[in-house]
Amino acid sequence: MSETTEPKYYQCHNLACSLGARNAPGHFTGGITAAQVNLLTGAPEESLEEGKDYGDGICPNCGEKGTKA
Amino acid sequence: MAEIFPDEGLDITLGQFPKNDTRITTLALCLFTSQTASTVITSGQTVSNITETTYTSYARQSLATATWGAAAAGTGGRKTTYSQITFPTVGASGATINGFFIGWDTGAGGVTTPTKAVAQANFDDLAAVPLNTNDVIKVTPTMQYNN
Repeated sequence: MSETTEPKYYQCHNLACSLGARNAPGHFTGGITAAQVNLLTGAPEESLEEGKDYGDGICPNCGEKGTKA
Repeated sequence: MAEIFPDEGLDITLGQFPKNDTRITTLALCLFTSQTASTVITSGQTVSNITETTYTSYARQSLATATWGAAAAGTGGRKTTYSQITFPTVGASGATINGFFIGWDTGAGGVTTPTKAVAQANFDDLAAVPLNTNDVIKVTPTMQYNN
């Protein structure tokens, strides 16, 4: 592989989230951005808190907090 | 569409049948940016010749062997199809995806960095998929053996 460092992996356990396959938790790296949360929920970016509403470990597909894989 | 079981992938397949290598239960579905939208690696090449995408939030998705569908007719052989897989929504930086490959880590399995490429394929329409911020790519992998 051309990768040199392994990114930190998280799992999304939200059953309604489309990430991964239907019967298995999806994986993601990094996390959702404030702009993506705004797009997803309509919540103004200024009201969002890093680490709680967006950032590392928050699923970029559904905005729910994931767990370390 | 170009697709291939490289030699290292055939070795894994033969290890599962007819040989009795330790049963593999999880593989990883990965997206690649190397080669082109209509070409894949050659038989003697390996996973080291494939560049996996690194778009923001990208992660390999696990493929549980138990989830593959029942064997069914395919043109010239038999095939099995996996459930549709959704990859993470693209964050700050995107990528252009030329297809997918199924990888396996000889040590841990699952979604850890693959050390072997079991198979590699372009998408059916031979089109590269440019992924931009907030895009979502979904892949339905199918595997076929011909008569």
